[in-house]
Amino acid sequence: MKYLILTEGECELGLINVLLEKNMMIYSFDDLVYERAYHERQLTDKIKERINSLPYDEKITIIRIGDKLTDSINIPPEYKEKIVEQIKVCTKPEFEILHIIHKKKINEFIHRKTEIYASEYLKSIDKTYKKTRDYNYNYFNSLKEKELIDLLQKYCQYRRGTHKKEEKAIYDLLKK
Amino acid sequence: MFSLMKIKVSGYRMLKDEFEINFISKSRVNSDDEEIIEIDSNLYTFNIMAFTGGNSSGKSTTLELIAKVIELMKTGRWVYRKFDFESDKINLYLEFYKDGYIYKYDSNILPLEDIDSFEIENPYCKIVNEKISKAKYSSNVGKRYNRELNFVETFEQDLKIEDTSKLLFICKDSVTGYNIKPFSNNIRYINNNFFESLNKFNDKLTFSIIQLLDEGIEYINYISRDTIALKRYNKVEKIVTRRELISQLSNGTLKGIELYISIVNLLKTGGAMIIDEIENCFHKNLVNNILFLLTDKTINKNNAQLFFSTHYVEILDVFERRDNIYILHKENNEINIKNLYSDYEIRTELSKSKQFNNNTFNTLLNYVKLMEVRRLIKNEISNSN
Repeated sequence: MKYLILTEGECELGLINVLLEKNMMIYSFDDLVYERAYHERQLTDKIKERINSLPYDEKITIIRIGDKLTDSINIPPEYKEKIVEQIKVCTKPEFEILHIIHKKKINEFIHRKTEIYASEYLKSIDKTYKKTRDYNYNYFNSLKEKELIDLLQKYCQYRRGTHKKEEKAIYDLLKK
Repeated sequence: MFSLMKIKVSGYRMLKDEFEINFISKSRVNSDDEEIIEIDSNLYTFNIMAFTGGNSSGKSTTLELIAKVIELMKTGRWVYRKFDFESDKINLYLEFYKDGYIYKYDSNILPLEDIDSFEIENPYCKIVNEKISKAKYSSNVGKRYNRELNFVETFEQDLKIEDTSKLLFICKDSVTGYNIKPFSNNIRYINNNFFESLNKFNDKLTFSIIQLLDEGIEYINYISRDTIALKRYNKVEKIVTRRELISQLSNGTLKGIELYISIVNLLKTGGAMIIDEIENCFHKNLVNNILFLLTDKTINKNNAQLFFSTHYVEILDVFERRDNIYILHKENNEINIKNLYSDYEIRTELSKSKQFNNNTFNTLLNYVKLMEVRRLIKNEISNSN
């Protein structure tokens, strides 16, 4: 079995790359299609080409990470038998909550969440924040493993109730 | 940081006047764009660039021009080839970036007269009317640099050697780039490079590349310069000469090993590599995997660039961008170049190969001429029966 990790946004990919490099996930690079994760919402040609490099009888589980995950992935008929499962990993309501929790501002944000989006709030308390893969990679890479696990656990607790039953949290993908 | 940004040329072979190759991104760049190299803030070039078109459309000529320009920047020299000159001179205009400055370069390259080609193997052209100006790059100017920056002429040291460009003083330590000839047609070249390739890196990497291309080989070991041990799985070891080894391996294996090892070298050193007809002898999957190495930022840390031509448009489907794909056409005996992003309005929901195969870019064989050849073949066969 190989796992195809697709993130909806590039920020999520930055975090996932940190977790993979620190060997904190239940999946290692070896378990992933072409030994990496991708910022993609669909099976693009470059993803298909990488799937094609796998042995014919290798099966795939797709792990989609994002806050919306509303549109379903179009799986062409030739991959229908190969792709045996899809796991949704929800980052609702917004990925930026993770930063807000880390900055210990979550209670302040909760008071204001009806008037401001998490991304706007984050930008107002941290002008350096960038919604990019590299910024998020560097930010989370600077944290210690224990700090990351605690942070993702708090994030998971914060969002319980906002996600669907079958959806997992990033915390669920950690070795712990 | 050094980066070639633009080549504009007139009077070079069959390329149309003001033939221009732009190496700077034209469309929006996302921060995790895999085909992009950041030259400076908001200024981007590509790690892969493709040139495609029908047969005899000018792909090789275009790649040779890029190779000549890289050579000029590296050595200050332009090797004379009679057929490079379509008129009495070549007008060359370049833009490049080096260490925080953008440079513009203008010159005329002159043909040599009364050259006895047997006397000098590689005579160099005279390079005259050289003008170089530069401007300090300012962040956020991006691709508007021509409008927003103030270029001031620089007066580089004049060597007073007619066949050596002043570019040498600016670029010589910065430009890394080398040229791989087309994989077709030149077996001797391939063989020499194959053996050089085998000695370049550690045994583990070399053998894993060999086994990727031919799973039956257990090892190839050098015993002495012309004595090599070849072992296939479930077979006894054979001691062979270089020539015998070449005859025992498939063309695809030889060329694939050479290509892979050249790419590893490129990734280690950075710089540019040029490959004409990248698909020659290779499966699409192998070529795509080469492109995946170049576009993987965890591997391509030295900003290596690959400029290649291809007839195999399916390879272009793994490109995320369009502005790093150029299409060449020959019209009225002049070679014209168009950018897939800026010169065509295409349906982005369709794969690139589907559009090429639908003849959207007029790159397939001329239908009328194709049917004429078909009719004539039919007649020829009927008459011989």
